[in-house]
Amino acid sequence: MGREACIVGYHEGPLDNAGRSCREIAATVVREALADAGLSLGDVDGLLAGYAWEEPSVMFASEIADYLGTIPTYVETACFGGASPAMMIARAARAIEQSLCEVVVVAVASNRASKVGRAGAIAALRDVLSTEFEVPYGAFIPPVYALTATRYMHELGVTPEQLAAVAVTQREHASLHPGAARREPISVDDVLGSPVIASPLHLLDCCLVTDFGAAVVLTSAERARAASSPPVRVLGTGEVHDRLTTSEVGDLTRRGGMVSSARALSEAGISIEEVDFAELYDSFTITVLLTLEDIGFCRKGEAGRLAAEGAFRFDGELPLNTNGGMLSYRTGGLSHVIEAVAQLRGTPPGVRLEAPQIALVHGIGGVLSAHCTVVLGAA
Amino acid sequence: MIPGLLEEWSPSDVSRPYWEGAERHALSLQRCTACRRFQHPPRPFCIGCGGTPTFVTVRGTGIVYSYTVVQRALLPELRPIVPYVLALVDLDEAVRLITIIRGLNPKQMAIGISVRVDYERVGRATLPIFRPA
Repeated sequence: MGREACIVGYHEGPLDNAGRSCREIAATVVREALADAGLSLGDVDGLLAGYAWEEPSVMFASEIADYLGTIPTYVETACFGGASPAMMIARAARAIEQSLCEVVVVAVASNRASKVGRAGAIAALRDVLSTEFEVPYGAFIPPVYALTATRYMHELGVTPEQLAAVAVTQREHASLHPGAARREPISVDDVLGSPVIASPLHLLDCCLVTDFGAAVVLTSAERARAASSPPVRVLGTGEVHDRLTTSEVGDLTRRGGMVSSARALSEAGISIEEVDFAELYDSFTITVLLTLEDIGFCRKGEAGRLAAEGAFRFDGELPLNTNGGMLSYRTGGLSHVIEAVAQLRGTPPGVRLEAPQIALVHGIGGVLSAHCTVVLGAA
Repeated sequence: MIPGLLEEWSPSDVSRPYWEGAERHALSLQRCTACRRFQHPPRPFCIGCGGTPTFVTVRGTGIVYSYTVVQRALLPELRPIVPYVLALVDLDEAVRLITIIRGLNPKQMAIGISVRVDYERVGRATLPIFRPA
């Protein structure tokens, strides 16, 4: 392989974006991320933005590039739902490897909680489903995920307590992070005692709906040597676009994470045993258990038991979602990437792992359909 | 279900026979004339072999592959209908439908129970739904 891409800067904006438009949020985090990298807007010749449905937009990333006054040679708007952040990192790395550009910024911006509201966000996300064959039956997210959860638990003997253990572990991690949206510790009983949204998923099995804004800066390994912070290497990426229509999936207990992670690890030349920690998309507790197994961290049906035993705590065998993830930290998948980078740099704001070398980040969009895995390495 | 969920519902030329079947209380699904496989939702061609599908009426019996009892109306239009059972039903013809199941206490719901199609008039549409067989 020729050029290698590195992450050289990032910034995560405030939890509350009330009163600000998505382009204002994006512009601010882009500038701060560039400052973190020791770069400025004049250096940017690539920009990716996406995961934006809060405000009308025809060409979101182009609009952000224009708003910033830049004239980049590579721009892409990512529309992969919750997989967009990881997909953008993968595409940005590819653009650098192929010399399409030198300095790329990846940005997400949302005022979904402060402006759109929870019901508005849930209504908007329902648009990923068929208005003809799914929505008329009262299908929306979370119930379509609950269909997977019911089948998964039935086939593999996983219990509600084991699902709840994921939320408990991640809340513990969030409690140690100064920027987390939810920091008060919870127990398995708290999860099981929270209202049932769509059985078997309780309120605390579901991720938060929050605002977010974040940006990540990538450049070539060569140029990264001059960066002001330790660069983080993009070792491998892989993606797959699994079936979106739930009724046509076939086996709901085995999804696209198998394919995307195999491709990413293969490209990185890394075995699953070499991964020190994981930041996995966590729309629901079921999403995490299913994905842990599909990626191959454990055998099918084992993740629930391991979660209950504490294997995914910061001091466990595989530290997982070390900032609390979307279940407790905040929505917006660049947080998974940024937490991984912070850990690999050795400067995480919350839970601090012992000199980790390899991180696996996994994003999911649609209904467990769009998958992207990114393997990152310390410099 | 409720008319609010059908605001964006708009059958196409390809899918219309499915909905016209439901109007007659017949479950009408696409089957490929070449490879004989069923597919749902309907498409202009068979996504398995590229062949030409035609609509055939099926028995409308099957078993529950998975389900969820939706308890909370996270959207205002769902308030009048919670709780309801959203389910995936495996028909005898080896095709799976997303649907709702009526006529069972949510506590009686289970994977593997036998169900049979029924029909529910909702606003402009007739929806195939399922009940215990």
